[in-house]
Amino acid sequence: MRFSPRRFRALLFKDFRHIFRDPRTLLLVMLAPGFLLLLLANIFAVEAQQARFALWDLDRSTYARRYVQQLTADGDFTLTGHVSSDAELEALLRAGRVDFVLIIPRGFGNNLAAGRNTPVQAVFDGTDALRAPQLSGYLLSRTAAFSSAVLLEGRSFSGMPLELRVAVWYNPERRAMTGMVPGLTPIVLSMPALAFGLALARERELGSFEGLIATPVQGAEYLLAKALAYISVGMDSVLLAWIVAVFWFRVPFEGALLLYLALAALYLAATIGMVTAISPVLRTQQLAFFVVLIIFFVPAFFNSGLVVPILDTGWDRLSADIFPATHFVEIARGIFVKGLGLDLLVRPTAILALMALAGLAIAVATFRKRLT
Amino acid sequence: MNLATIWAIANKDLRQFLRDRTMVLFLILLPVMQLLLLVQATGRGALNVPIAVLDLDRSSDSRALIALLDASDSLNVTCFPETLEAGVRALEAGEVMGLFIIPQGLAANLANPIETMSVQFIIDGTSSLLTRIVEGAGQQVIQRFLMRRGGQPMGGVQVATLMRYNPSVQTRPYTIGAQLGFITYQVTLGVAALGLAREQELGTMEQLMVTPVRRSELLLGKVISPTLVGLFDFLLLSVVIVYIFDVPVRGSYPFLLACSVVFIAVEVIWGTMLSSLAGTQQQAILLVFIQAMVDIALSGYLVPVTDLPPVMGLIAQAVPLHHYLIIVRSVLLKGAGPVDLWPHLVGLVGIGLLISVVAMRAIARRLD
Repeated sequence: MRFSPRRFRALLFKDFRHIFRDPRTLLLVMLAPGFLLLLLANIFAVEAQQARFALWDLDRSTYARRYVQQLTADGDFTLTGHVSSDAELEALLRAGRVDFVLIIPRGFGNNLAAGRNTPVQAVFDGTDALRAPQLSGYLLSRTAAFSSAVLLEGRSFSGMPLELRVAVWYNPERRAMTGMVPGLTPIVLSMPALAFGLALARERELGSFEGLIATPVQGAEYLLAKALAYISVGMDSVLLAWIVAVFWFRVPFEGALLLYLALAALYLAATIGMVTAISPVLRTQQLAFFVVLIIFFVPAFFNSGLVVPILDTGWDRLSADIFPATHFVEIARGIFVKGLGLDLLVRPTAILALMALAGLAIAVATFRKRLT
Repeated sequence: MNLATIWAIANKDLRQFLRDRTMVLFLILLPVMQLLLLVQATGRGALNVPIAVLDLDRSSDSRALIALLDASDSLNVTCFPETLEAGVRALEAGEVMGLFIIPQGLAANLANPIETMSVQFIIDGTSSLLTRIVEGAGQQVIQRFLMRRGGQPMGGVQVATLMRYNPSVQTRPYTIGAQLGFITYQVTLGVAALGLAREQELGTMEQLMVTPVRRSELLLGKVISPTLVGLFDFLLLSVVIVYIFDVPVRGSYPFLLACSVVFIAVEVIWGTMLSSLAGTQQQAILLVFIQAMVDIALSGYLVPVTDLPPVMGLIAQAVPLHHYLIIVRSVLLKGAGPVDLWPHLVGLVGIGLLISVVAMRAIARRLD
């Protein structure tokens, strides 16, 4: 039997009615992404790295006090206590009450006064291998500022032959929201795919799929109609998330809105396509939930380049590329922040298109109107 | 309350669950697969941000500067554009996160300083976190370069940094430790959230109601089987991370296990409540999904709780996952025990009790 537009329309109509008849689900699918974006953006757009540290001051000189003052001056480093033994130091670090302990040895002030080098020691809680080096970097640059302030006292400034001049492009005010909000959209926009996967499993679970088997409906018609219905409803949440980003968070939108909407639709199609490809296995809603959670949701936080950038090598690249969220992070950030056109987004767009088409093709090819 | 009745219900749920072979397979395979992928993606060593260098000087000095850039812990020079336009294009396309421009005359000015020369560093500001890292690394490279050339006045404070618990600063143990908590969390909540909703949707709830089973017995019975499933996944994953990924267990494993039982039970009770509030499984799942996003965001893994805005930081204290992740990581990696972790133990158990009472009441009302 051939693909019939008439049956397709009827199925589409049925699926829309299904979605709109259940207001709680509709609300969850349409409103939740916008709401979640509000919430997540507030959490992830952290502006400063705060660190708590304890001090072990064996010197007790004015220089030591000035050094600590310099460290804590801008409020990002907070001195939370003093220690005077190895055991105390160890207990604080083990309990996670401080990020590092700063040890100022005896002779610190005298050395500085005499213009000699003087060591200090910083013992960090190294468990978080991304955070600890960052904090130690801040400590180093604050210390360098203190050193040069002390060294230049009473000396005529000789000038340095070289300096670094930094220009921050695309986000000169360095607002965390600017990059974070578009980067979070793939996470919140995985809700339509979830609802879609659940709907497929639900029809099997509740037995209404049996009714469909008895009709002349084709697999392609059935799957495409359902996919189209959920993509259309998902576009509402795309728009809502865009409104939240632009009007609530005031994230600059440099690119073309039409391009953004088109590629967002492609992202929805890719996520939904992947769900349809595995749908024969998804017999229960519970299973569908797990699969969606693991394919779209958790990787969107950890593998997509949202926080930690993706490396361009071998397995690292591949373990990011197989998730649709990775590509939409690139697209959303590119269009929002840099105002990119399609010419510079060819790779992510092509991969998403491939995922959507391959997903649907696999689904149509393996679809069986059968009960097992 | 009758223990036999409770066990009968738990047993029924467990059997029903084990009968679904695909589900059981997925519950064993998916978490392990997820762990592998996440470790692959986030478990690499140091952060290496790709940058481009436009060398307009082409001297031995500029080459020395480039070598220092490449040797920096967080930078990786991946591309040498011939022109400024090519460099900007690489930045725009996202191939590199920064463009480092070494001006013409660098070597001449270093040999015979007449002016302060600027090295331009254009940074892609999309992620403000990376911007800070890249900028800091750039500054350090310049300082190191000057120091090496002897152009910098000597003297001053020199920091010796020690990384306790993780001297070679590897991300792997931390990531894996956190993922153990996350995956246990997600399996537990997922299994629990569907229990009651499924019975309601398929109509078997009504059958349960007409049996002589009491509400409290039904509830306890319903909590037991997801707890066992969660515990099984925890045990499985902890074996995988210890024997395959060589994550150390520096603290007491029984203590960690006890905390895990408490955590899993709390999540199961909470999930069961969400499940009872929802009319259908679809609604239950969407509710759990939202809950999971909030929990993961506030768990302190991707964003440290101390960095959160005050209100959010306060809310994070009420998230059991936040306390649990700290406990898991501290026990595994730091060898911490109850004495070190008491605030988080109080948090986990206290919030857990509170959640349980609220949830039990909500469920009881719903069942009537």
